[in-house]
Amino acid sequence: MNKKRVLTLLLSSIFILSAVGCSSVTSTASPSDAPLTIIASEDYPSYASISDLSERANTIVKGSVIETRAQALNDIVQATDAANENELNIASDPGGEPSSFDKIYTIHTIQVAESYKGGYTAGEHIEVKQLGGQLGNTEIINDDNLKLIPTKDYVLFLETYEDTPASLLNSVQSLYVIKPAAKSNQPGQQQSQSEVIVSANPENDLTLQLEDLQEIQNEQKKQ
Amino acid sequence: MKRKFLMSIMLFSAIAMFGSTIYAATFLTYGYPSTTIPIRTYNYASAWQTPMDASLANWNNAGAKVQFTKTSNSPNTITAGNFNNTAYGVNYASVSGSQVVSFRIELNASTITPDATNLSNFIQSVFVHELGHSVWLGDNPTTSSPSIMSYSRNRNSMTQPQTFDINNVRSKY
Repeated sequence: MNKKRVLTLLLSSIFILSAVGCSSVTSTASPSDAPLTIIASEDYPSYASISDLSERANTIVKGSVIETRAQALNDIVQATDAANENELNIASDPGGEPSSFDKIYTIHTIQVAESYKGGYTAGEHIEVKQLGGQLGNTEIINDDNLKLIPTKDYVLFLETYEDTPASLLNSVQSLYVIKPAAKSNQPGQQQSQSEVIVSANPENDLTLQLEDLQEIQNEQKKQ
Repeated sequence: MKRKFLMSIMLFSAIAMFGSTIYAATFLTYGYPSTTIPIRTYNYASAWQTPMDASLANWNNAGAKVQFTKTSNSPNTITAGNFNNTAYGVNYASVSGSQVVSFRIELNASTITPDATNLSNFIQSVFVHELGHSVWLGDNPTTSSPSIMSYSRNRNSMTQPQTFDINNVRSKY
């Protein structure tokens, strides 16, 4: 390879990398039937420990995804409902006239394999929503969300609602993947029967262990 | 010689890719195209209206070059209410290329109220954070500096854009 070809290659690399690095996550506006892309950025609570996380969740289950769909959903609680629930607390009712907005959620139906907290039992289904998805020409992108995959088993820390699917407490600390224990190659070494729990989000600094789930379950049984 | 050139290409590529990842942690790939940012006039109970107005002032007085102004016909809206989700606030940005065309910010009383020991400060912290998304700032930047964009900030006390945030916004305008 001569010097000229290498230089051309170098310049091409710079151009391609710059184009990729600077491109937006959305398509640029194009005439008439241009798709509408909305990018959602959330500010949500961060928890200092598994104990704080489990205390806040009203439902903690292990399960797997059996169905996923996108759905337009207006998740605002009507003013009258909110007022009834919080009659004595004026801080919880901002007043005014909150404007209506149909969001696109990805809704997963989870088959519960084990329940650690809340009213669900093994075999039941629970719907869990994640902000983001596409319906027709409109797409809401939420880069924070982790995709739930049907082949995996998860532990989910959830908040449930009366008339809308449940939500994960946040997208960093509330979703864990159950992995089967690694097989030992050492002759004579006993194969561990325990599963391993890893966070679905590598940014998560909390570590969830089977013992934690057992403790949460025991607490639940006491109540 | 040939090997040196090839090594240079590989090194450059690695630096370029790694660099863009770090950049994305602090900045979004889009922001409002002008320094004056109109917001449609809103009207809420005083416990919410006062800190919401203060949030605009917190940015306007920060020296970040940007000014949020209230007008009656802006496509950029703010809604405070009770929502069935776990976020304190959400910024929905309609984007064309690297420009924000319009945005809608939601403040969620259902999550803010139970966690607030100082409601006014908490509302400001969430609203100032969400406004930050409209001026290029990304969530939870990788930094040891205090930031209004950090998920783990104390929302009951941090109400202002921090030096780190201000410098980042200034670098974009």
